[in-house]
Amino acid sequence: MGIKFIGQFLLEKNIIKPEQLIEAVEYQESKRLKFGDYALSKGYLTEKNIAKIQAEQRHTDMRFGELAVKLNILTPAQVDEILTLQKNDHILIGQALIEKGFIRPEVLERELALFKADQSKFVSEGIMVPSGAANPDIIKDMVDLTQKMLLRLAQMTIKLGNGYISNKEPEKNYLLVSVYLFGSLKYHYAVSASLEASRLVASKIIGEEVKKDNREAILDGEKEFCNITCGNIIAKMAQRGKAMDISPPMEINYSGGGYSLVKGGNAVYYPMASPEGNITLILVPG
Amino acid sequence: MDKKKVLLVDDSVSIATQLQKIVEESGLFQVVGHGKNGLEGIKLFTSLKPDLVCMDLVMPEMDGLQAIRAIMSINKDAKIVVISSAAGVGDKVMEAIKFGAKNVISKPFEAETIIGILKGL
Repeated sequence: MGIKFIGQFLLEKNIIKPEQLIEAVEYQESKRLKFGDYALSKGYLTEKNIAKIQAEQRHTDMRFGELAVKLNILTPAQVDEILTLQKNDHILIGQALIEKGFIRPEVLERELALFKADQSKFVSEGIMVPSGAANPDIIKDMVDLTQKMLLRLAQMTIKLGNGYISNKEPEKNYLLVSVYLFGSLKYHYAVSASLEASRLVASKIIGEEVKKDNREAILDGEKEFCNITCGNIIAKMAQRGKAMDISPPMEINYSGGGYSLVKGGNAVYYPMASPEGNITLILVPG
Repeated sequence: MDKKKVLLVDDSVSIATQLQKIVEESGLFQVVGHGKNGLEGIKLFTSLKPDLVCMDLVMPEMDGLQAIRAIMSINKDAKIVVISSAAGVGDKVMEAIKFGAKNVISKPFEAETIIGILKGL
């Protein structure tokens, strides 16, 4: 129902076993030539160059290619060429499962079609990102997944307002919940929601009506909504080649006359209106 | 037939409530405990000796991956199913199954997926 990768999709459907997935991924990795091996075969590097770059790698987090450019051993164009070669030669997990005899080609073909149909629901379209906002594609994904999860988890159809950039803190609302996304990119993903909107989300997640005065249950439901949405966001980011992780959701308290979320930075705000109450999505970089 | 004992480990009470309904309505399972983080999950696993564990990954105090590793070191035959919003991240899935999880289900989930997988263990 959420964003998946094909290995987990097949696992969840009991088409492959966990140990088969591990073996296929190890097989996939064993077939993958290292960056240095490609560069060597193209004549761009010598064994001596490789040893120098590897020695340097012990003191930095930079990748092999980046470091080779920094040391003036490779040009950026050569690095791009090798990365493309590496990507093109990489065997896909489905192919690895076939070659290991864990899945028949016709079953894989059928499941890939189902997987693509399942995942096509998560393509972002028609979302306007305010000019000046960094990472517009990532912002689109975050907004899109928030809308889709509101519909899926809470059956809430929202009308998306125009996104805007502001360095102001959010206005006071019933709940403000935030999840920290970190790794290749860093964002605070926050949802500000009215009592009615939060109560609806919590009721749908729990599967029974939550009373207005049960703030603890409402908060728990809102946190879980943010957790599920952000988990799906990082899965989408993984598809985009961005390795990211999330922290557990937390409530931001209103104190001293305001919230402390944006902290003078440039947050992207998206108002979301629905008959059940209003929600504002706030994305704060950093 | 005796119902299989299920331990839920998830920081969300909402999700635990929903999962409890799903697994108990099948008539095959009984939820015997709910841990709100990995550490509580390990303690409850030791005291309750459940047949199956449903484990979230992103939790405060101790996350699900650490808890899976600890539980598998207590009982290498433990049957743990991950149910997580981060199940679409390949690296996390691989880590969970390398540590010994029997399957990985993504959130939001379908009741029939949960029951189908638990029944198969």
